[in-house]
Amino acid sequence: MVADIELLQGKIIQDPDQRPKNTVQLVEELALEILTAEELAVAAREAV
Amino acid sequence: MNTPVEAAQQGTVRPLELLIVQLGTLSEVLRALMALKAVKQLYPATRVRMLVRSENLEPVSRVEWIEEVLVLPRGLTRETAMQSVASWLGTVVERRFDILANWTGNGASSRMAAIATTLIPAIVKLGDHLREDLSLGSYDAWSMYRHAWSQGGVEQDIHETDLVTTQLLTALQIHAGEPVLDAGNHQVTSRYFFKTVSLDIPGVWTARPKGLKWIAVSATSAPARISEWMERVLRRNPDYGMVVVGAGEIRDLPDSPRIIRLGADSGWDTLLTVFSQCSWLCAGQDPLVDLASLVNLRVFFSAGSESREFGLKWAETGPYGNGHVVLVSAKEWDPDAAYATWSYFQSEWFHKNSLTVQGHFDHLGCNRQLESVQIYKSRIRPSNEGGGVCYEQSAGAIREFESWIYRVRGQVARAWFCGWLPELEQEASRLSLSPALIKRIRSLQDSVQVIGQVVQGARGTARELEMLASRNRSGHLMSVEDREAIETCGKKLLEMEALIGRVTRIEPELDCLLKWYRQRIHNLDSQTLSGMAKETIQALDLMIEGMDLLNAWTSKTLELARPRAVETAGNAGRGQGLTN
Repeated sequence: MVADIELLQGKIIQDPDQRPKNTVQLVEELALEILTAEELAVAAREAV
Repeated sequence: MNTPVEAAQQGTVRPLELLIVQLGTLSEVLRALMALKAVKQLYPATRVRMLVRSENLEPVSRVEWIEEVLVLPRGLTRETAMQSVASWLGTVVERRFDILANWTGNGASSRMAAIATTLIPAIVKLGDHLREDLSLGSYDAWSMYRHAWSQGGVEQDIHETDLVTTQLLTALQIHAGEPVLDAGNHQVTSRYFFKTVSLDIPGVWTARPKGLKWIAVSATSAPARISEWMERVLRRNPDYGMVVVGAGEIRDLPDSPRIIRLGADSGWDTLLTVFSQCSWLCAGQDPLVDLASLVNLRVFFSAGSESREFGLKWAETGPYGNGHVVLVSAKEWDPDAAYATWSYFQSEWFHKNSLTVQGHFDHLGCNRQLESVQIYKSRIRPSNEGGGVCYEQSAGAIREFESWIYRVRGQVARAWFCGWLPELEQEASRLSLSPALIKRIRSLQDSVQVIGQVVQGARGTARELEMLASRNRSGHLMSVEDREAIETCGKKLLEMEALIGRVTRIEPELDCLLKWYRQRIHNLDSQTLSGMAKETIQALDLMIEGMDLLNAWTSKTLELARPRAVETAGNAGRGQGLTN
């Protein structure tokens, strides 16, 4: 195998219970993404 | 949380908890199921959960070996969105995953999936995530490859399903040990991939004329002139009937009692029942193709309208499995060529290859159409040939160089990430060599050699940078001389990248190597300069490996084209007589 094993094993998270530093910002981003996707879906349904 | 390997060592073996994030289209979800089928077969103790969009919940929830299907929170309002998402995450976190793989592609939901991947805890993560600066990053090599090549417009011969299967199987092999090769997992190999919930099938199907073989035709993706093909099939094959499925309308549908039209809103039960009783599905790019692949229904697939005439990007998402037939049209889809193609393969069992596709086209009087199409048949390669699905050209227009470089690129990826190398001699011996192909390969070889030299130079510079940076332990304080030397190395690396860019503008077929390098550099993970320099060396090493393999292929192909002396009865022992 040429590629370094680290490149193939994925990211090992040493402490999975530890939250990312910017958790609040990420939750906010996710909420926004879901809202936008829902609004787009509604608009697409109405356009038909 | 113990890793499964640690748990096994402590004698407390527990099943692996796996989460697949697939927030993409229905096609992507169905392809993910195809990949998971292989994973579950090799690692039967794995407990698989999937996170999908709510509209894709139904097919996944019908797969019995999927432990649980998670969907994103629905019906959010601006006021309560944050709170709803936070409490949804709270419930997801409780599952405690060992491995999380984000398989969502490059579509509209890719960012959403990357955020979810970042937020949901797991011991090992694969796929795309969101970095601290909120830009998109990839955790592993296959995901970077997917961005650089598969989604980056580069034609390569690894199917999307095989790509994610290999990614996950490699990670499982590293973290959980060797697979169970003779597991014989009945659930997975069962003929009934999806469970049916209701037997309430439309009367129009249950009352269909009996004793016929059926072809499902997708109204959503079938080509514009499909009705002409349908008319030919029905006229010449009285033992066939057709059932139109999917949303959309087929114009000028022939008036025949052997045509059934199912409602556009046919549920999964209807579709699964109909597919289980059909012999073929005729469709273009459509989730129905992925569904047919899962339930082993043979597909007659129409591809075309790519950015390049006879482009090969369709092969990354084409029908998966053995025996599917693909018709690629250079321009307009032609019903005569389509009929000749389908009828050849539907009668394979009768003529047992005693008839060629060309001969069949001749019999039907449409041999001229063969010049503007390509016909492929799918096959699952044995593992000693690299594994996965491949499409072998049966007839039609030949694009020698494009096919050659397409195959070579796939082999480069397999060498990079699977450690698998083809039997070059055997592979090259299958090539048909024309003067045009040889000329093209010679010009490619010149560019390969130029880039090879630049990359070797860049590697030397990256090594120098790594040595300079590792002398400086703090990473901040350094002498003016060291700082200048580091800056010089950085500039040199950028210049070399620009130089490679100039060569690939002349030889665009090699742009794939630069794309890979840039993707890898985008994903540098280290926090220190010396660590980043080391990762740069690794990226350049992969490029060098790719160049070496390209060189081996070009040399072998050119060697085969060289005139050789052959012994004939008349000149045995005298070394006379030249042949190609």
